[in-house]
Amino acid sequence: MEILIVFLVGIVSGVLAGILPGIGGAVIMTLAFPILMTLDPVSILVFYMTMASVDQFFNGVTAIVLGVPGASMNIPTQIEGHKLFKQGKGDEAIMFSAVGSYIASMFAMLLVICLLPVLWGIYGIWTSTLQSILLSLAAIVLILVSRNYKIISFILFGLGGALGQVGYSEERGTSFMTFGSDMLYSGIPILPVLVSLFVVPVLLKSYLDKGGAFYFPGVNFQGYIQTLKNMKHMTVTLLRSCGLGSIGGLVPGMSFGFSSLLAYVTERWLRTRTGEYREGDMPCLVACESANNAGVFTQMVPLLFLGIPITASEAIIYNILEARGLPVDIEWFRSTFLTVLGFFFISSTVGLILAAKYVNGLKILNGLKLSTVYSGVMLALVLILWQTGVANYGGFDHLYMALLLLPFGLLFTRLDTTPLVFGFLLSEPLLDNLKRILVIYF
Amino acid sequence: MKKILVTIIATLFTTISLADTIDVIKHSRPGGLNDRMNEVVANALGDQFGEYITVKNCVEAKKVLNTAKNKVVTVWPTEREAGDQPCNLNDKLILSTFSNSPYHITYFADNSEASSLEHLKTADKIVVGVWDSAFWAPPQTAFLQSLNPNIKVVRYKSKPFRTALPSGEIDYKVVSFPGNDPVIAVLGENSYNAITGTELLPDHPFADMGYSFLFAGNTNVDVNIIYNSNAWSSKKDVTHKPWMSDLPRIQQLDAVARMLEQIGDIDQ
Repeated sequence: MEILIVFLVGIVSGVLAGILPGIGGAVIMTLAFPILMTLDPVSILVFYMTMASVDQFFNGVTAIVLGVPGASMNIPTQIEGHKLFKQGKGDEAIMFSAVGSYIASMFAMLLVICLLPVLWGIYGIWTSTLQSILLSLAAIVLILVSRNYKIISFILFGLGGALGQVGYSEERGTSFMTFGSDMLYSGIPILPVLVSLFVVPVLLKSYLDKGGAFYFPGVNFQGYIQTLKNMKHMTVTLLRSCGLGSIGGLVPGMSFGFSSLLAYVTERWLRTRTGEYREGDMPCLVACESANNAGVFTQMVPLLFLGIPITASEAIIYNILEARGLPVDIEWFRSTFLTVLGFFFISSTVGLILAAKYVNGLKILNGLKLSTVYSGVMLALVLILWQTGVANYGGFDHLYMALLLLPFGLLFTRLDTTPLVFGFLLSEPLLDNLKRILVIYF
Repeated sequence: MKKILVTIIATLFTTISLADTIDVIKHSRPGGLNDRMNEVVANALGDQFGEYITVKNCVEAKKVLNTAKNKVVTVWPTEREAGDQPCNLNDKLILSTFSNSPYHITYFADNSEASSLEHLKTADKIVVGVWDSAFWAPPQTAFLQSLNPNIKVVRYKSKPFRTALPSGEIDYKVVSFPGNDPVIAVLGENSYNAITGTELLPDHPFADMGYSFLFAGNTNVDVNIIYNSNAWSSKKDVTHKPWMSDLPRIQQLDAVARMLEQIGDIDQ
């Protein structure tokens, strides 16, 4: 009985985490922490898997329809999906994204089953060198495929990297660009960067470029069946992205958010080379969304197999399991794997059905002026910035930082600021890996 | 008149009641070690606990400690007292030492070569991972390289540190909480029947070393209240033990100052 209640609560939590930008899995897990502490360990895993898989079906919808990525991993979805939405193809974007995500979930489950006997081998090759190569590759391709001049993208990437270094570093024992401000002492969190330097410029551009009214045609069952049939033209894209997403989930330090980016930039690069890429590209959207979902399942493997949490949400689970005196090891992995697998399958299916059914609720916005919708989204972002600041003991700090960064966001309205956001995210692990390689090998 | 009198009395009682409670400052990442330790303190205080004062970082926590009218306490990482750091507290705010978790040298269970202490002490090529901290990495490096000059010490942030052992990139890792990894040596109090740092290198200044906390506040709270509580005995971070609890405060502070000075000397 407990497990069923947990499953239902996980579904509701997943919907909330998906549709509210910034309220990701980690925030939900933190809020649920006192209750989770009282649950059976398998129920905790079921809660997390359900929430995480349902979340993936809904966060893409917010990015596609409202132009707001819930997290950094949804930036590619926003770039391609929202463009499609503005072209009147929002329904197709949602259906392709949902079907691709579902296929990816199934792919990841099969992959893990097949990989079980050789998992140790995967961890054996996950060295700083390999991490550096993948991170460098992602950074280079990201700069190459950006629609800015390459030099501009390079500078934006560097600028993002510099922003990521702001704060007092306990590793170095030094401050960087804190200007004596207490607020900047702990560094700049990702949400204000994402909102001010990526979301606001995009929304503002949409606001200025196109008037008219909001229109979402809605999705239906026949549409999903047709999408499934059309998906066969994207088999290679799907396989490649599912593979990259799965690897991202399996290996700590990489994260499926990063592998989603890698799947996206790879697809975009390949399609740019063949001259097929235009912003609002369906295969690119499918690539990033399917990589995301594949990673959501495979990320459970390091946690259950090696006791290695690779996301903040998993770290919370790990803490709970440890506090309950439960050894997270191979034996436990074997005993829980089938249950987790079963609930992931069910929750993915439920997520797909819910997303398919309730996404039509957005039709309520039809007819509203686009400027009104975007103003509403901006207001919601202000509230979310305030709320996440409070949740992280920072009060209004997230909001203040977003305001400080906003002039730069407005200045960059005509630029593709993706390299800046990913410079913020990738530059530190990249430099960190390179530094380690130097010590180990030289 | 009666209403005013009742209000005054009620206010007076509320004030007295507030003054008797002790607030706990939370100043670190929610759910992290520091945060958990502050929760242990709050739970251990029982009825005396007032409320959490959550601030975004140690700079703000320091301001609260310096200016709060109410009684406030908090757990404070020792390394913040080293040198001229923004979070360095005045000694008058350090109530006592709090806890210490010895550093454990661990290896990966499948790495049979690393399970031998001789390998750590004599191998020609050996890599040891340590936590990426400007304060703790230098003494750890000094100890390890005194043990075996061929040891290369690599600093890791949390995520890549987790796979460093299974990937075979490092042979050993130095951590305060070893988890399920086998322990080959312990720098400090030993609960693993493993060799200790003082047995490995008896005269080395960093042979007995661990990750530690101080207890800070603007009111005199006996830290033994915390050690004797259920919250302490049932805490998750089991490797953290009372630190220098048998010494008077002045001697505790002297010992901490000496330790910080020794570590500071490495950089020079």
